[in-house]
Amino acid sequence: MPLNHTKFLGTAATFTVISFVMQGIDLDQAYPQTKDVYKMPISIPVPHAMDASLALPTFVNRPQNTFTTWNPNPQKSDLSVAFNSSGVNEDLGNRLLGMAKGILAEMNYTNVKVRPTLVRDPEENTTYLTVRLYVNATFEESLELDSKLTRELIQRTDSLPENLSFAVYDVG
Amino acid sequence: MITADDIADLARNLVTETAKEARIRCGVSRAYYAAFHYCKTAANTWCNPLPETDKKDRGEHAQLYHQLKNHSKDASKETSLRTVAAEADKLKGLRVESDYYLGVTVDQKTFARSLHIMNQVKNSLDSLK
Repeated sequence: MPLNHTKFLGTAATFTVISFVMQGIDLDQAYPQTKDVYKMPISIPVPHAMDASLALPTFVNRPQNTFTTWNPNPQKSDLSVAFNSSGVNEDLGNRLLGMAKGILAEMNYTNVKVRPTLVRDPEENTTYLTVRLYVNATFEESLELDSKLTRELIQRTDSLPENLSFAVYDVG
Repeated sequence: MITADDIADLARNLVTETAKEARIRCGVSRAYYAAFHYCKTAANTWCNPLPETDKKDRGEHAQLYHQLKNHSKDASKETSLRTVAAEADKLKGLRVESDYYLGVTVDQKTFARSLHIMNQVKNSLDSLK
């Protein structure tokens, strides 16, 4: 198929003008009222369009998988790998986990299954760890337990490390 | 101009019982951003500005939760603000999973959990007023 030079040059010129216009925008002047943190991007980062889990094979967290499927270092426990991957001190993480289990035990939930889940936020270049605690409760009960656990953990520890959360789930 | 409540309303109304997963994922994401903006308003009201040194190596969201956890103007509100920040941080994990991890199933339960956390954040902050 012959190249339509006129159309091609016209399209190229249009993109060039758009590019110059976008680079010339003063974003602080464009959004002075709201101070929004989400300013208009100057260029669209194409890699963000992909599934982040595909870019991070070692962090893939799929519910149907067993822990050992995604643990890249079988010599270490899944929890240990998860703490290290999220930048959480392992000893501190384990102490907090013990405290979380203790709080649930105080509420008569002693049979707790632990499942670490990691996700990486490509926007902030951060890896988050949520330690899921599965208990024998209804879904609605698990939501209430989840809120209570967070409140209790904060009251007893003052604060949780960045990138670490504990969440209560129903066994289902 | 809109408020965080408008985003929260959208989150609540976005997902019906028969909603497909793509819509459910959007609902989780909107619930997170409602919580984020509740937190942002709270930080502007009850926290001191974040020092430049605390901004280093933290994204905008991490900065906000750090501000809530560590820079309260009022000692009597510290624990509540830390709890709210922890809740929002937890919801962020679900939002990232919903927006970026297409291989993970995001279901109605995840959406209900997201709304629950969003409501917790709002109610906790409302109780501080």
